[in-house]
Amino acid sequence: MNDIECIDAVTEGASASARVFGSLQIDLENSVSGTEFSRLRSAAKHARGVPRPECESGVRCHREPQARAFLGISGGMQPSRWARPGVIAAAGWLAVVVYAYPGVMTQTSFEVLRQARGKFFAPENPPALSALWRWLELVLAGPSALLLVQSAAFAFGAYSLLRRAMPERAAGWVTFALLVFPPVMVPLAVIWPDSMMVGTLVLGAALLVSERPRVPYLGLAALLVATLAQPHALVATLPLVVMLFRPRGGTSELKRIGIAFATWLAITVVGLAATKHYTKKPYPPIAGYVTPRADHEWIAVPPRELPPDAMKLGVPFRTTAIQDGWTSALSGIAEHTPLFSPWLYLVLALALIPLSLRQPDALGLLVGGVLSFVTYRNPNWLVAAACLSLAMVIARRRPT
Amino acid sequence: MTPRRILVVGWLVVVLYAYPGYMSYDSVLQLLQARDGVYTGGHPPMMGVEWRITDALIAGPFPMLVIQVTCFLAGAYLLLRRAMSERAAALCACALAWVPPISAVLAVIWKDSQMTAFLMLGTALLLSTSRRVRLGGLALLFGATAMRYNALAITFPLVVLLFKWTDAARWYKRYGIAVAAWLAITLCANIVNSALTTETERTYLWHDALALADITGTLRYAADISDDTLRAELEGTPLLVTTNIQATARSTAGADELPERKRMTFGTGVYVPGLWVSTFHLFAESSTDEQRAAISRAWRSIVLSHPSAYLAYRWHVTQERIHLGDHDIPSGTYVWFTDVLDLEGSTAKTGHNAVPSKLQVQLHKVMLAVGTSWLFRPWIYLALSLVMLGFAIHHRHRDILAVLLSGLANELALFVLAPTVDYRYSVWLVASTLLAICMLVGRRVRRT
Repeated sequence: MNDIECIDAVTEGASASARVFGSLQIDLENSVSGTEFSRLRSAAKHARGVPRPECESGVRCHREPQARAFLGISGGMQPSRWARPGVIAAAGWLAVVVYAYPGVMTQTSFEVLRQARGKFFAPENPPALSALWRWLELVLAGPSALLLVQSAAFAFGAYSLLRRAMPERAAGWVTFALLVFPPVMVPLAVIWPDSMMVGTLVLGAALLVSERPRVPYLGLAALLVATLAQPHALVATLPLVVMLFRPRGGTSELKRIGIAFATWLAITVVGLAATKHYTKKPYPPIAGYVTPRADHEWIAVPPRELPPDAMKLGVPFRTTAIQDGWTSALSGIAEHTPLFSPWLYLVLALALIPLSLRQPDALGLLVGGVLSFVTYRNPNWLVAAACLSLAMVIARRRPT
Repeated sequence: MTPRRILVVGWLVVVLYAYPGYMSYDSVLQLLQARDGVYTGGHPPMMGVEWRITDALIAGPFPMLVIQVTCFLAGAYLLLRRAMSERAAALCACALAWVPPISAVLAVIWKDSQMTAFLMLGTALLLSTSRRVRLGGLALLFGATAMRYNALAITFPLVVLLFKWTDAARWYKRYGIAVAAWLAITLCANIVNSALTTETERTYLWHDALALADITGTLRYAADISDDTLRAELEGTPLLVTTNIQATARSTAGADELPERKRMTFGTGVYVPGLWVSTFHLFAESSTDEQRAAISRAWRSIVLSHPSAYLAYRWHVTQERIHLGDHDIPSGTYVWFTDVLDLEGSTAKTGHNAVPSKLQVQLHKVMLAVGTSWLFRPWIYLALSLVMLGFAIHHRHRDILAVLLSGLANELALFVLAPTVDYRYSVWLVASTLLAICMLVGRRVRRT
């Protein structure tokens, strides 16, 4: 019987927050990492006897019936499934979906949708996003397809990134908080090129830093999608790829940066070439997409807009009272607080950059966010990047 | 692939086929009632309340679709797990949810779909080792009973044979408690639905439809009765003709004289719509309590005194409903996002519309074609069910026996209560039969 199998309860050696509540549950999450806890629980389920040696992890074992039951040895109380970190993060994602369902549509959204169902691609909106939407409509018609993709990509990516900086349970809660944080939630709810860009950038960043083989290449694919959705994402993908992409096999840092830069160049060229390919009008599409829009106006909380052909396009126009109330509340927040002011996040990002010099994931997000805002006056990525990085930097700076 | 992943894939396939949920005239009406908070009783008010709650979170049919597909899959998996490995149970549960005769109904927001889903999960929970979970199963069966009037026949064998308060109880205590539990959920469901019905909007489905059809149908097959006798027996009812009353009941009058919307409620088939046409040439809808009392009196007088004529008429209805002897049958699938009889109007009223994905377009074609095949003939499942019953009794599989008996009980109830020909009435028969077959085969394979 190894030490893992002998663990009945983790009380000594755990943090003060770990306690046994009678026949209820043990809060172990704050004392051991999520991975360790899962391993212990899995081993405890198969335990046949419970001796009392000292455990390998240095935690003293003692026979507490509730704890044993909790760990599944006697088949009694199990930890609540609903309190798992992934479930908490998923709850945040669900909140976005409930707020947005089937997806907040503006005039821009309808133009992209019409392009997706038609043959003509006008240069006013990135045509590659319409092409992507056309593919999604093979299995799921309407705005909900894009809503699910962009919000799920963000939720998964954020949770994965935050899990690297803090315990899983905390990562779950922070992801939840991020998803319902108004300046982050609102763009995720809208069917916009920027929203898809933000979701896939976060996902791409998370996949790039994965230790599993081949997964970083999926991260590159996600960043390619971000470039397709919004060509000026190239300024956001540059720091992410250069700082986070590590090709297989050990190389010197200089070589790694060179390979990463070349990789970034490749996905950017492919993204812009695809954009040019899908554009039918004789117009310089690349310049049209990557130059700052002088008339760009960032609407903090965009209202749902309904052109006359909305119903024919299969876009329902009814909103629930909860959605209407939520939108009013968010509009109030935008109007009366500085939460939606992009300059706040620019200052935050600039302040965080020196603190994150040794954290390439946070640094990549921050630099990309600042560049995105400074060059194209697009605040959506700046806001998301700043909030994510803030959580990561603070978590890593907390004394353990 | 783990069982959970298999179930997730299975769930996704059904949802992608049905997204965001198909809605017929009944569904649109129920959604509007849910939003207004006015329940007429023509449709289960409990379902209206459920939809009102989900519509407050996400407007439209999608949350209801999620509920019914999730409950069905979860229930099927839990039941099948008793007869086979977890992985096999997950695969079989997905197959059950995908099979066209079941997915065609699961995809539509109908009370029948909700009832089937709650029955499946409720039955599975009744077999749990935890009393709390068993009570949860009873709660779901209560929900199922509240969805359809014939569900009380379905829940009777399920509760009586499967529910137990404690393992230690003697047999008379056990069955006594089970019967009491069934009575409790049945009565509560009726009380709750009645309490939720808006009094000023109450409809009298039995008096204005089934009772009148029963009288007309019985008169068709009864021996000749004079007009004087019939006028006396039908006094006080909203009778439209005073001479040649029985001849009118026996005739197949022109359907064109009736309002189109009314004709559309008669459903598919030949015999049953013809019967309804005759009924509404014979009777108008009641408008006062006195007329309804007279209808009840006339029903007792005519139907109960001509039992063989009544049974003959009900047999003809059943024959058409289960497509026994039919060469061609209308499609049993429904694949429209709003009321197909009034697409634009229902879209405007509900604020809901959708367009099918490319995948859905292809699946619609397949399902509409398959909907006319032998897979959608309930008599086949009735026959299979009777055969499986023998196996279940022989091998003493109480759970399978209960499931099969519930399907048969459903058909027995429909023999008396089904007003029109509609495939969805028999979906529980289909589901219970296929489930029982999977479980029997699973246990057989396990033994060998």
